[in-house]
Amino acid sequence: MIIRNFGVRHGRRVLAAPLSRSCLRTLSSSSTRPATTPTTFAEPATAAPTTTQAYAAAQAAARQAELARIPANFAEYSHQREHTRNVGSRVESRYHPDQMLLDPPHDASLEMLMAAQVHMGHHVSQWNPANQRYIYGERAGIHIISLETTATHLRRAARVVEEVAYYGGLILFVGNRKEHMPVVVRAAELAQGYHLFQKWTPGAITNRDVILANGELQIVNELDQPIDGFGKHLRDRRPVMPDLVVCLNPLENYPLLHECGVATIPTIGIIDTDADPTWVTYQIPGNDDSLRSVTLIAGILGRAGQRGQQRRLADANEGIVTWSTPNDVAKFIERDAAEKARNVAKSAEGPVDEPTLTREDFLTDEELLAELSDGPRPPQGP
Amino acid sequence: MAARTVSPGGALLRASRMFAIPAPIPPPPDDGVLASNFSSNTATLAYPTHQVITTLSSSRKQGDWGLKRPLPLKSTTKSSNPMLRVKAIDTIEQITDYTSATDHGITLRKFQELGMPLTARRAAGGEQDEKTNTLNLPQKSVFEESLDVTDIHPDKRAEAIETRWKFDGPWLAGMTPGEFNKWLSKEVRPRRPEFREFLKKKLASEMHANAAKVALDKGEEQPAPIDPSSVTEDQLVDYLRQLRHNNQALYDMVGQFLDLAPLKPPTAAQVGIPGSNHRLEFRETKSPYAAGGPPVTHPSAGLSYLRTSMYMDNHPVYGPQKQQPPVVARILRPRRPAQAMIARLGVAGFIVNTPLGDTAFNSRSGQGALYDKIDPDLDGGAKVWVQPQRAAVDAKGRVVLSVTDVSQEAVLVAQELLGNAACLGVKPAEKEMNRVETSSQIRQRFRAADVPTMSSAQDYGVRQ
Repeated sequence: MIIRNFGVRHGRRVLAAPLSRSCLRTLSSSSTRPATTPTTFAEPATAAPTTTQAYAAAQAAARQAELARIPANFAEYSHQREHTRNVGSRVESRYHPDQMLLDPPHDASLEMLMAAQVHMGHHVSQWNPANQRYIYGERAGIHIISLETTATHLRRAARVVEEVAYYGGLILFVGNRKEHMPVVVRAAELAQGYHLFQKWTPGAITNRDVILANGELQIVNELDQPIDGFGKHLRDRRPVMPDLVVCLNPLENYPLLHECGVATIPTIGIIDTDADPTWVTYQIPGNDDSLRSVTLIAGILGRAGQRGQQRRLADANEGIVTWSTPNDVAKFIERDAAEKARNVAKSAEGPVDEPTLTREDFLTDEELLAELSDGPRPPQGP
Repeated sequence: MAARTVSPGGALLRASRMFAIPAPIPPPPDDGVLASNFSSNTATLAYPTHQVITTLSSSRKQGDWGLKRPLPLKSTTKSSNPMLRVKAIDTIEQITDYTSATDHGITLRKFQELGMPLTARRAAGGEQDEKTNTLNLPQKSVFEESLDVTDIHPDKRAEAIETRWKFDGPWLAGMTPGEFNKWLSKEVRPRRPEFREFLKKKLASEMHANAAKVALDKGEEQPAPIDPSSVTEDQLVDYLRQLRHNNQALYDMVGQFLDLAPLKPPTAAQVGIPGSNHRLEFRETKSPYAAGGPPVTHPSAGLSYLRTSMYMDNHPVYGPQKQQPPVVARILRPRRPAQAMIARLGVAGFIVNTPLGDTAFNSRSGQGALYDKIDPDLDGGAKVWVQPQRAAVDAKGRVVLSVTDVSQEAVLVAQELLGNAACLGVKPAEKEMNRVETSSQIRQRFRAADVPTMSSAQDYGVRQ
């Protein structure tokens, strides 16, 4: 029974009642029980009602009296509750297995990393000597990854994710082991990025014109609101590529990382002692087998992405756009505006014969090539 | 030298649970010599070799045991006792090598439920080795100071030979001739010059003691201690000749030098009839480990840290009990009086010999028939109540338990606690617990508050 609710539950009547004899008996040191005085029972010795009317009146009066007690009782109840609210202990839960998934921290302490088994590398015979600088030592047949190194690299990777998100880049989280699904989905949700928990389709970057031909695209403004009027452009433009790929198990994703390398897309990867650190741009040395380790690292990167997105939107609300319109979109806007102006002028002139299209109205081969080879968002000149 | 500084991460790792797992100890040697002994890869070892690890139920559901990778749920979530032993955190096949450790974990739990201290018996010159049958002689807890001394000054090791259980040298009686010869040539022979120096030191101190005694008798001043380097070769050779004619003194010297485990002196039958040249003389040792060899671990084996069993079990209704609560034992092997085979019991996961002598285990009448043959109709085999008496760990690391007859009253009380029987005395208590108060009785209790409710002088017996 919770003591602080006692008074609330039972009201003033119980609190006002005398202590029970059975309790007092245990306090008393005398062996014999004091003789109880003969008690009179409190059943009201009501005089016999003369008439049923008098009885009904008495009943009504009693009921009124009872009703009149309700406000006082309620006040007492409220008073009790107010004064006993802070009484008692609070049970807080210390460890929840899903805590790192639901509420990932912004930065990982060494203790957190160790608790998440990030330091456990592979069997010593499996190591890749390129990882020597990340390895602290050897214990129980496995390599131990230095926690400080992991923390530093994780902080650097989080910074990269944050800035990419700030400059409006597309971030792709990849983890295609069975248990990675909730992890990558949660990280992508936080960073407002994209996730992949199935097999990477080889060529989805280098051959994206074919593989992603049917993908839907959207043009948004700096506040992430979709803009209409780009239907023609979206029909013609190439599929997009991610601007940053976070890979939770690089060993199983060599095709993806290779394509990212070809397309000069930066990558972040968890490098266990048996992985090749040159496959990714930004290494996070750590255990890629433990679910807790992967959850913690992905959660921290997701949080970093969330911070970047928040900063970007806050700046956008103040009129600062952190990214520049990609070349192809800018050209389309220009051409579209010119066409509209022409149409307006034409309608002002009145209906005239359509001038026949000359060779100058079409794009030359060089112009067409230049337009096709542009990335979605190439760096703008100064 | 100042302590080496470690990085914060290194310090964390040193304090971590993974680093706290001790290295596995070698498994008990296989008794391959005995053809009758079956060896099995799946049999429970006599003692655990790996640390048992466990996890929280919420983490176990996710396969999280704090190891390199989550463990398969299919094989780790079925058991109601999450206990594993991890043989390798990671292997070349990229798997974690683990097995269930409930065998030793539950055995430990059951043993601790018995509430027994582990004991050792100081040798009284008996003939028998440590067995269930000899356990009934008076014993002492292995944590008593007379048996458990580990922190000894290097100069005083020889004096503490009978209170120690750990020795640098081997136990000679347990070595095979091949082992002995190898040890002799590899370890002992190169130390001959060192032994001569040791003897010189002993001789010097002996000579000084003699001179001091003479000086004391004459009332002269005490002589200065003799330097061992001043002992001449002739003196040493004479001393060696003396020692060769006194087998016990020679053994003492060799034993101190090599830190040999104490040996039980041979019996007259083993020595044979004294020859013509000289008699061998032996001194009895008081070490409990002279007959069977020193234990492989601490003699408690970490099973129990109790120092005594001299406590009383308190029953909630009947009060303090004369006997400790008895336990149920399984009859594993029936007795065969024709072949002089006694019955074997299984108590708390250990094999126990039934005691000899006038006990129910050896009686022919009454319950005795239970021990004569296995009754296949009984579900789970026949079981009997026994009273665990003593426990010890032998030189091989096996737990030796002894049990005795159990009193009928103790069994009845234990059965009643299990809900299988009802005793005489429990009825009033039950009645009291299940008493239903009428409303007038309750009212009476609360209305009796006309007398002073707080304690009064009368209540305390101050005023009548």
